[in-house]
Amino acid sequence: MKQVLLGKIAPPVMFVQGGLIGAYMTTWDGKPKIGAGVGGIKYNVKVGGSCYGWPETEYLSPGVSFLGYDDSSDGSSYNMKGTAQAFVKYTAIGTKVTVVNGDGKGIEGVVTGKGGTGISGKHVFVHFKNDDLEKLNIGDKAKFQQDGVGLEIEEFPGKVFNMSPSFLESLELKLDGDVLEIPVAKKVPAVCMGMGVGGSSAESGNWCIQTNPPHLVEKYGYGDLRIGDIVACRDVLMDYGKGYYKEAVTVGVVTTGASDVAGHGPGVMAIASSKTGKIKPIIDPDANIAKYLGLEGN
Amino acid sequence: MIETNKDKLVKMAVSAAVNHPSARRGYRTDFDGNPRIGLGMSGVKYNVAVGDPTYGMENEEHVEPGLSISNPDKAEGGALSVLACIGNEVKMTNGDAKGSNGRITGKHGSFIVHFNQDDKENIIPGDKVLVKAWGTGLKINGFEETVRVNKIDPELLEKLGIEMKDGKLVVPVTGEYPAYIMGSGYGMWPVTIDYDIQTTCPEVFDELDLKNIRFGDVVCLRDQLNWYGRGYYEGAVTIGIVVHGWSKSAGHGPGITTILSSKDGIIVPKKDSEANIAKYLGV
Repeated sequence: MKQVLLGKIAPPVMFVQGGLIGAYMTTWDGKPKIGAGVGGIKYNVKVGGSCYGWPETEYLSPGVSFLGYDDSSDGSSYNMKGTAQAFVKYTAIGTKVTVVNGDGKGIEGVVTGKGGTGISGKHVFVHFKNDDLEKLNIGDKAKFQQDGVGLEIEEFPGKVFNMSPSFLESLELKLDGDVLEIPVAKKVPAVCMGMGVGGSSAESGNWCIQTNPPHLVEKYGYGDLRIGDIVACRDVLMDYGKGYYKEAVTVGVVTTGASDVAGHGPGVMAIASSKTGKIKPIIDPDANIAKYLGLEGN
Repeated sequence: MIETNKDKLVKMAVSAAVNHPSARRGYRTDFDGNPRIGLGMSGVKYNVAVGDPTYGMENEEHVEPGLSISNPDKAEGGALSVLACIGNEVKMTNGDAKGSNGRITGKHGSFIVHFNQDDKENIIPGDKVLVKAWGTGLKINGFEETVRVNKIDPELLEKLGIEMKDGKLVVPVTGEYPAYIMGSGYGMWPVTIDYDIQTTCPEVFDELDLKNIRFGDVVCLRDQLNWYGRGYYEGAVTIGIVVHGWSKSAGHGPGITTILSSKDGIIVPKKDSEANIAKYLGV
């Protein structure tokens, strides 16, 4: 089924830790940090860019963050209205976006991911061209052409999520029997996964790859992780929820930047999972959605 | 025997009330895609107490043994959440059970409290309680910089059978759990919320002996640091107390309130199948 969803550009939101609105957040090693990066319009942070190296940021989202049209930036994703839930859960990577009011009326963008915990869990991220970004303002509305809910791959016994059919096709995936082969930039074991475990079904929310302490990042070699990278998480199952499951494989897209908060890091949004290990990840350092969506260089 | 700075800790009254179970219409979906009704959070549980198994009740979902108390006022609830500790004394201040005493046995969303069976019969949701909050700032002498103490009553800490040996703290525990099995609550603030040992992968129930976990067990979490937050740290050891029961929601299971945490092998766990706060509290 195809239908229209309506969103509005979200304002920047300050990271709220433990309900202490306006306070510094505390890093894993006990330092105060501002934690900017959730919501708003980013002119210089794009899918394909590094997860690291953005001072004082947390959960940095690329491009433009959208909320459901009648949602607010208060509260968290735990108590979203039905309309806002539909907006987040029904959008998908590759969903076509058209601005419907303001100076940017008529310009087009594409969905690149969704947010994770807290307020960022209400957000959907959209890429626009540089020239078009200049025409956008906070509060501008856009329509999203939902076409990805219910997508299945014939003969594959696992599940796929959060992908528009056109994006799925751009991946040019192969089936070896009933095993789905997917190009990934990194393989991540369950022990590296942090905040987000126990969260909602795969259609919304993220599960973090922990980017602290530094010895963990070094040991497993993901210090060069980029926003938009496709990664395979071992013994990790995201479908009806998010949890450890021996032999399961979940492939997801890194949708946000790194974190210095204990147990946190870039959010992984699921695109495919198999409880019985019927996914074969194939390492390809270029496996980033910026390439598949044709966003590189703009 | 350990010594602490307990004489320097402020002890103060915070108020709360016994809460009521809550539910929404519609089934929840378990980790395997089955719709189900889960129960066990909040309110008064007559037949579940600290010391009992965390696994085995029908439709169990984060069962909280005994009473659950909270304070719905945002500021007061925050103070309760931050200041009250496991082992703190709780007193009923109105209703038919007025004057009876209990002890905090865990912090989930609610605080979980043990009262004697006779007293529980006289308690109803809405009854007011006073908590003698005591424990914030607690440190173990000689380990002030190396061991983070969290959410534990100073006198209960002294009863855990902790021994000092070769510059280390030897702590009796019922079991040890690896980092990969830690679930919901990961990344959150140890002061106000527990985190779960996941019981949603049947393949590891036996391997990790998950079905024998009891409410109140003192357990060891490997490679987990609970200092300024909660996450992985190779070689770190965290000691916690099991506060609530099993779950079938993906990534959830028995909850652990963390009480001690150190890097670099300062805390050494020692297996003791009787390491349970029901014994230490004498309830």
